[in-house]
Amino acid sequence: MKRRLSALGFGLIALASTAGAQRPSFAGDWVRNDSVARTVATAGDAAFRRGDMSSGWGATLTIRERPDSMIVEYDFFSAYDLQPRVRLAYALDGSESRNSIMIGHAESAQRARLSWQDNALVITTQHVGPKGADGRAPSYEVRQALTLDASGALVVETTRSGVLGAPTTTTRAQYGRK
Amino acid sequence: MRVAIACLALALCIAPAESLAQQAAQRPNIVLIFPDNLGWGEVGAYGSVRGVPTPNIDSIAAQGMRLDNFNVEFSCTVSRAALLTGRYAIRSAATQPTGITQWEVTIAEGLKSVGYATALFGKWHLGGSNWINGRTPIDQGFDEWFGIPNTSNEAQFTTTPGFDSTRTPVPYIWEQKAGGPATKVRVFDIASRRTVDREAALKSVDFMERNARARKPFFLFYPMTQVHFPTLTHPDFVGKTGAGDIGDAMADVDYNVGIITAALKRLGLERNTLVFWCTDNGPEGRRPWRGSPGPWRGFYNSVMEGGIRTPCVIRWVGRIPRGQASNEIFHELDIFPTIAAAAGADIVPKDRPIDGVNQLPFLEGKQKNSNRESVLYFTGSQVRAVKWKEWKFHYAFQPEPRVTEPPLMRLFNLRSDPKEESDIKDTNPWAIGVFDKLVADYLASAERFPNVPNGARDPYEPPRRP
Repeated sequence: MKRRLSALGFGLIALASTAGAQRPSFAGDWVRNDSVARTVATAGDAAFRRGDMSSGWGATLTIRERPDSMIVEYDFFSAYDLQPRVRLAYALDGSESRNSIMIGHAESAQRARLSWQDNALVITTQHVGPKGADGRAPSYEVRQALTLDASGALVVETTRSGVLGAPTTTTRAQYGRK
Repeated sequence: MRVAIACLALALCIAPAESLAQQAAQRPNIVLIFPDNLGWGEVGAYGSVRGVPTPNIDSIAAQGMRLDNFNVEFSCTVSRAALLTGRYAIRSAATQPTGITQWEVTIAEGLKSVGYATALFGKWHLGGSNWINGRTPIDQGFDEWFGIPNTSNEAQFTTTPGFDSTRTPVPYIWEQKAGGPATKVRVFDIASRRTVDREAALKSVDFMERNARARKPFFLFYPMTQVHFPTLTHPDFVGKTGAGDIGDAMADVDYNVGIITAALKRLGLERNTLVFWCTDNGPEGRRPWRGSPGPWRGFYNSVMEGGIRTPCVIRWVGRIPRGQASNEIFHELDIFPTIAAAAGADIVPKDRPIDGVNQLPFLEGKQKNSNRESVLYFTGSQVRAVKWKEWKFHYAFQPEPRVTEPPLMRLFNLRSDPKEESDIKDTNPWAIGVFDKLVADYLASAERFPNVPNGARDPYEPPRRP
């Protein structure tokens, strides 16, 4: 009962807050601008790094906004693979969303919640990590903050908390409209 | 009384010497066979894509262990440096033009210090272009050597149109014994390229016979020149397999391995000899002598699995259980500490980072898992990829030399995706942190013990630590 009330409360807050201020819309087809993708923070010495983990959503993505949810679709497989795009659905009322992705060697299960922080839409996702020395797979958090910059480009800042004693890292990816 | 004291004194003097000799006599012989640019797909025990039989190599596997996750550095010189020092080659600044400094401690130096006879017959490639001035195998602990100081493609020099011996030195096969000068044996050309491995095998047998007679433990390093380009094999095998030059060369490699193992049997040394047969890096990639990486993707000079995962079979009759195969991670770096443990000798340096770990308990079946769960892969001064358990993270993905494809950063699960084709970093966000930490650990050690600078001259001394 308490849970229901708190979910209802969160939903009301979210709705009130959305109604009170004009929130940015992220809907559309987006293509990553790789020339600006970069690592913005890491706990270790990153001088060696040349690649980038990017947003976690690939190079081309589509965002659809519905009254109760936001849908993110992105290309994971090639056209030859004849597999559908990866589809992630997030409830807008702050309740937990569960998404499952088949990635060949296992199913990647994710639990996520949405929230607004000023003009940033924050998706906080719980992932399951690899097994440690004790044979247990730790749960850990990934936070994706979506904003629009002054040019209207979509910016996704992704912070991945460390597991098994590893550091937390943050990357930022910018997408232009397709 | 005087006589008694003199006898006692003599006895006290002799006793330690006898003890050392006895200890040496009890230590196992070590035979390390190390072919060049020979990929996973060429070997019978690993599937032999060309169908060329390799009974002698397969026999080593059958009598001991076949490693299915044996890792090496990506190219000739760096791989030899890692093998002989137990250190990532980036630490010793090993390069083709300069080799390694005399400050490095090799397996040969370590074993020699505890009474072993040591020899190298084959390819050196750790002395740089000025090898003859202080960077010969003799300078790194070998009592004697025969072979080529650099690499096999030099055999093409004298028959290359426009070759000018006044500008480019004529390459030679050389030989040398400790205390003496290096001397030329014959020109290293296409003809002698075909036969140098056989000569090296026969010299290996002579070396083992001499030391068996002297009851002295030995370390035989036989770095074969095959199947590096030009992959032109011994006349006995030309056209014999129907599988092209690489197939013929593979048959030649196996034949020469048989010469060594037959000699061990004839000399009664099988039980007291630890035998390694492993290759320096992935298959030759240069046409027309492209080799096979088996189920993996890529060739040498890349850190794709095909370039850094090579065949390795190990035998120690009576110590390593027969007929084992394992997918546990092993690295050529581990061979030095493993040999030290097998010899019961405290010969691994302690004043510098050693990246190898002792794998003897794993080989002997005393533990299920190897003592290694990660590997760093470098090209030049770049950390290019890291393997951790079944995962491999590329910081700068490059499937073939000089070929890059975005995204540079990719994650693969090698058990579900052995060809490194499906990047799954997006669904495994944990990866970056875990792999960064492994690199950070290396960087911290390199800060504490700075890597030897590129081009360092002898005598090299590391900077003093505060």
